[in-house]
Amino acid sequence: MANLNRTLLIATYNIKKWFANPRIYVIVILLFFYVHFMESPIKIFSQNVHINLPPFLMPFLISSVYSGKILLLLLILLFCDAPFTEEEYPYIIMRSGRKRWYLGQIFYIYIAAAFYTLLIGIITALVLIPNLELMSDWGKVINTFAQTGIASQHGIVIPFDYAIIQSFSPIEAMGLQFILCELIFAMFGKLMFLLNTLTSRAVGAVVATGVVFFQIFAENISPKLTYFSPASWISLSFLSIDGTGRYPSLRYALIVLIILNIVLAIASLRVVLKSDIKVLKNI
Amino acid sequence: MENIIEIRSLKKCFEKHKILDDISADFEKGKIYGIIGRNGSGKTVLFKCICGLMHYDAGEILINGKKIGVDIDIAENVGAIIENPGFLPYYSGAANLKMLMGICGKKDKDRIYKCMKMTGLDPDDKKHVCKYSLGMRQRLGISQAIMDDPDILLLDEPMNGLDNKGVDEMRALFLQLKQQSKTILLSSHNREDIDLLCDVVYEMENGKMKRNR
Repeated sequence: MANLNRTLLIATYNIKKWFANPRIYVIVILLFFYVHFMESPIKIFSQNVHINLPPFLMPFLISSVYSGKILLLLLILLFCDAPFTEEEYPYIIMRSGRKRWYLGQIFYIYIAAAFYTLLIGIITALVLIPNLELMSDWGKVINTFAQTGIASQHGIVIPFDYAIIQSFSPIEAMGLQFILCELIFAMFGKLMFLLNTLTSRAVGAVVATGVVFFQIFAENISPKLTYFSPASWISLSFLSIDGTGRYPSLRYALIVLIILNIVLAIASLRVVLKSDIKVLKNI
Repeated sequence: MENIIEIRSLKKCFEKHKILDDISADFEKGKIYGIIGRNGSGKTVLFKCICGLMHYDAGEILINGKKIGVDIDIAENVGAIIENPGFLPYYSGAANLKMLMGICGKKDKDRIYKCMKMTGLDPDDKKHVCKYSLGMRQRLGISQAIMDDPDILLLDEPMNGLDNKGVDEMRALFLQLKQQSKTILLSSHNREDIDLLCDVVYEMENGKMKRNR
């Protein structure tokens, strides 16, 4: 238990650096304005019909054409300082050793990914105030959008996939979306950690951006390529829920993401144990 | 006197450039060693290799008989200031030291307070580290190095940013620590620090280290 506490302290040390980092505030502000921009037409519709909205828009927001890419690009901005070895790094690693320090960074990546996912979920709901209502079902507005073409007539670009409403309850959909986001975000974090440790910070950001934009290429060329595009799997409506569609199934995405996370974690550990890790400037 | 650090035929290269070229030295308990040399001579790299922060290409470093990179990956019982001291900017000095001590699995508020006072800092000062002067950050760095009561101190330019009073205070502190049988390796460009403090002086040049005194 004491060792777990020490490792968590290392992870939360990185979180405490957020308060002094303008990058974090930029991410939150950009996220807020993007979600607000995307959801404003829905809020206006809700006000016009006098029917409130549930706090479950996150899976649908992420399914829109640009949302997944924008969320991932903001995530790259979050993790662009990987491998998190700024000026205080020698003082920490001398007290923890390499393995515990590394484990602390992996915990940090998962915690940061969870915070980011939670932030997306919270902002997605908050921007709907005062038309937000806590309810346990999808609500009339989402059901209407999913079953008719009325959303596009009101300038709403978020796609409301009826397959999601039919297959999952709101809590199930939110839970699955959270898990997908957590695994994909953590995978990106570990990828950047590994590449930045091996080479330099710029490489991790460039490769991660390439992975994001490979999604566009994959989705436009062939459904088979999307089996190799983890960025595509962030959208619950993109995945084949019953496993019979042209695109990867939800089960495939979850299994491959878990495997990728494990492989990247093991590869990063080997690199950390063998490398000279440089002290880098704060960014 | 027993050797607490032993370095044998140490070599380290960066892209075919020899930074440490066949360095051997022994460091005894309870002495202060000065390492002098121009910028880029390899002093910081040597300290990082001793700490275990950097892997070396050949040779060996033993700390209390344990080989760095074989028996242990990071040197044990070593306090260090290497490069610029880095702390969480929106926390006080004491809060920063508490967090670092927690990573060791320890909690000793009295020890932190004592070390801060020894380096001339006020432990009750709530001022955030981002508002510290360079000298104050350096003092906090020294506090951080001594607070775990290590047997070995590696101090890379410890007097950076200190005023004359601060330099006198730190000299007195290092001599006091020497009386407590600590082994101190310090690098400095200030000849007076080296002459006043050091029992043994090594000079580094072109990757080689030779004993001057």
